[in-house]
Amino acid sequence: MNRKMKAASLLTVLGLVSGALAGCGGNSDNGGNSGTNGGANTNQTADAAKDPVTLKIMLWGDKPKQFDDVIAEFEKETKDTLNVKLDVTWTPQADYVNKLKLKLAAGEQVDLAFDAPWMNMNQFIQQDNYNNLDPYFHTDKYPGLKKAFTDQYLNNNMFMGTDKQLHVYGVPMGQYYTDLSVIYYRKDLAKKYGMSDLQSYDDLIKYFDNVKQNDPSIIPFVEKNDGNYGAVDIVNGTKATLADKAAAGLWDVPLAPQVTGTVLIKDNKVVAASITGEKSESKQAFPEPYNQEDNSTFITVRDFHDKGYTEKEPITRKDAKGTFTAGTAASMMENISNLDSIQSGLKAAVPSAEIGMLINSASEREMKQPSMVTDFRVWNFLCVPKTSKNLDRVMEFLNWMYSSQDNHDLFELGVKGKNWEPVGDDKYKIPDGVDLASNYTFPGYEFTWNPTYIRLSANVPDGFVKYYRYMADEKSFVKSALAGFAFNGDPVKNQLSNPDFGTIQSEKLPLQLGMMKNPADDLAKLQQKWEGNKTLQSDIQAIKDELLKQVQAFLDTQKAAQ
Amino acid sequence: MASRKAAGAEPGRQRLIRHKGLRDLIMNRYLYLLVLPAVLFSIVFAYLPLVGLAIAFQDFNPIKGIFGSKFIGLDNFKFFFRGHDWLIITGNTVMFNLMFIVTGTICALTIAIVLTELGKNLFVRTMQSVMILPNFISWPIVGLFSVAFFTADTGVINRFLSSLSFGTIDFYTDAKVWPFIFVLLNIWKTAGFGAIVYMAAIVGIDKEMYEAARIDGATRMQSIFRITLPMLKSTIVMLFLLSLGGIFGGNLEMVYSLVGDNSFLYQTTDTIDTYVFRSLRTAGSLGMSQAVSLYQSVVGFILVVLANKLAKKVDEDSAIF
Repeated sequence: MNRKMKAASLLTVLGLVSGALAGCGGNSDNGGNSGTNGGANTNQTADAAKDPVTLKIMLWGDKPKQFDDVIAEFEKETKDTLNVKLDVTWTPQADYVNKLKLKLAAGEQVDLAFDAPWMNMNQFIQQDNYNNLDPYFHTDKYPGLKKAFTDQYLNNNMFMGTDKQLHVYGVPMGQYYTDLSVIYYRKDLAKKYGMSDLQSYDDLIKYFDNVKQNDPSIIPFVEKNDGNYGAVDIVNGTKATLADKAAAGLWDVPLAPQVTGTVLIKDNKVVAASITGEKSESKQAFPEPYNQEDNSTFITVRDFHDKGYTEKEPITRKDAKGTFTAGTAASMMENISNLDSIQSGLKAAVPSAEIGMLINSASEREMKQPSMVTDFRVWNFLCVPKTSKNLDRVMEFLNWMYSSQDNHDLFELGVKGKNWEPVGDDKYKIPDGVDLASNYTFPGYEFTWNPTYIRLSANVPDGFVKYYRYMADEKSFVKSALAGFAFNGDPVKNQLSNPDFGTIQSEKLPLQLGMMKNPADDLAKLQQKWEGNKTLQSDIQAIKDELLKQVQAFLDTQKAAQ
Repeated sequence: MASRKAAGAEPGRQRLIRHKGLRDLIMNRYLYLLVLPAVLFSIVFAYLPLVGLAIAFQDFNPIKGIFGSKFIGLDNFKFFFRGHDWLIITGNTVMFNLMFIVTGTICALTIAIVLTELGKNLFVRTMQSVMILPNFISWPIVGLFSVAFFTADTGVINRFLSSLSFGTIDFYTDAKVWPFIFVLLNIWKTAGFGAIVYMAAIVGIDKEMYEAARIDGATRMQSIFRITLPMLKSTIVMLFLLSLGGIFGGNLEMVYSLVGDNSFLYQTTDTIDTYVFRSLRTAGSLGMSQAVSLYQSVVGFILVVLANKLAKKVDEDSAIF
């Protein structure tokens, strides 16, 4: 019996231990596997020019439909030249920032990652976590990169490295200098109400009224619970533009995700500044009409709410686009570049629907020049973390992608003939009979966008092609006086982390969504609350001092450079 | 290794070992061996990761890792107390959890007692299964459903109220109603599952006591209050002590799924977790998040130890350790 017990206990222990530690073992096994696989492949294709390599790529969002087919097509085409496999990890947007951080923290290999100054990028560059990509551009060794990225485009998109010099730390992703906001509406509904295409703000209001009257179950204008692309933007579209503000010498500077500063610059000197949540006195030095709080937008937004143009509680609306494309809303706002995905979504749910577009801002609609401010920098980048062992191979892959329109379109649009077909040299359309809902749609802004390789959708109405030219025209923009300036938050890191900045943002949200009954009074009350918050005010003061110092230092170096 | 060492010990030498514990260890080495997997598991998955606590005291840089990042002392802890509302928020957090513990315990106990009093039949078994079902529905899904109930335009509750010509309630702008909603939903979700533990404990009570009581003429209510509840005391106290450890936890999933970022409701719904999540989700300093969760755990730990001491003083059997 004793022997039996011995055997039984040993067996149990063995089983449990191996079970408990299976997780650890499994991981290293996987790592080993990919290694041996690689080795096996070399033997098979002994004549291939390069060793096979798997590139690990981090992107955000949902994995596009048919993405694996595109990858398979890519690997087939380049087996004999690049010989790389792409292992793309798609992460939901809300988790992406932290996941990337943790992956790098764990020392996991990441060869290419989507990042941007509004995510980790500035911080990671300061911490020397991204590779300097200078050597790969402007060189004949990488003709594709040389062709697609002009000197000026790169120079506008450099970052200050740890050596205090400007370098390319990320491959810039951009097509135009901006992406116009457009109100997408239901043309078929407008026709039903006897209206022709909407041309102005007044038309839009009339359209809302008609929806309210004739289709009470449809929401005239749907907005998301974070307030972006909301009624506030419609109202602001009728007002002074950022170019006007710039003409007055006022420039906005993002300081942290929830903190923005506005500085007044006169003759290369910073004269005044105001920061999110600061006392309203700080704006006194600003020129009219920017020297006081403007309530009128919020009042009109509340009016929209009372008239039923927007939902009663937009704060519960988690997906505005989905609501519009499902046919339960009569209009929504998004960027002009999203036309295709919105149209295909709507057509899939409501086959009889017809989509209409109205450029949101009045000055942009009339193509006034200049009416926008830009630093000529793009918003999104692809970076190569220092944990990557395949820097050269990654850049070779990117070189391949940017070496011809065809290679580029494979990722941006999918397999030619199957997912899309060319119309002329610079347009494309979805082939007849292809199911829009299951077709390949790729978020180009995080991987492929480039000004050299633009293909417009043939869906873009003829009257709107001119707006694309307008967005690409430098004359439409005022160059920011702070172009190239990035606020270094490190010296005031603790102040910027004051949780009340996050609270301010969400306390303003109900105003933006029209949910406050008396916008003017309520804003005044909020302002009073923030002004009475002593820690917050002293933190703001410290941040402001640092901002003024850094901006002035920047302006001085700019002047010296001239 | 441990087994080889144990096996190498000669039977004759065992008598020489004076230390009682050690002798016991060697005598029953195969039985003790059974505990090895659990020990290994705890070391690997519970104690080794504690090294990560260092992040709370560092200006953490992912590439440099835990051992290479700069040590900055208590700087990360200051962040939480910088905000204006940290007292209200801590208050909300503790209040919610206390309410959850109290109402959850009462409801779970009631369910358990009622079900056991009903005896064992098909109805009771079905009820039992139906009641634990909500425990497996995740909060985000409950959140989606809740909008259909509470929203002003099309919500079921408001339609019902207005059809009875009562006034409607603007749930998403009225902070007062949410503590009640949270408590109700929490009961709905956890009470059925919690009842299982108590039912198991009730089954363990000696049936002869009930028989004796019945012979002495005790009513059913008297049996419940004089036998069942007192016998359950140590179980109740133990579960209470265990849940005390999480009293500073913020129920992030629940609050965010149900109300999201709604500043109308902050006064009553903002908890430590939602507050920290809101301010760090975009800027996301790992050090600061770690600091706050360390703070929550330490306070929870201290509370458990203190409450356990108290329990020990009042009733020796109820204490966990």
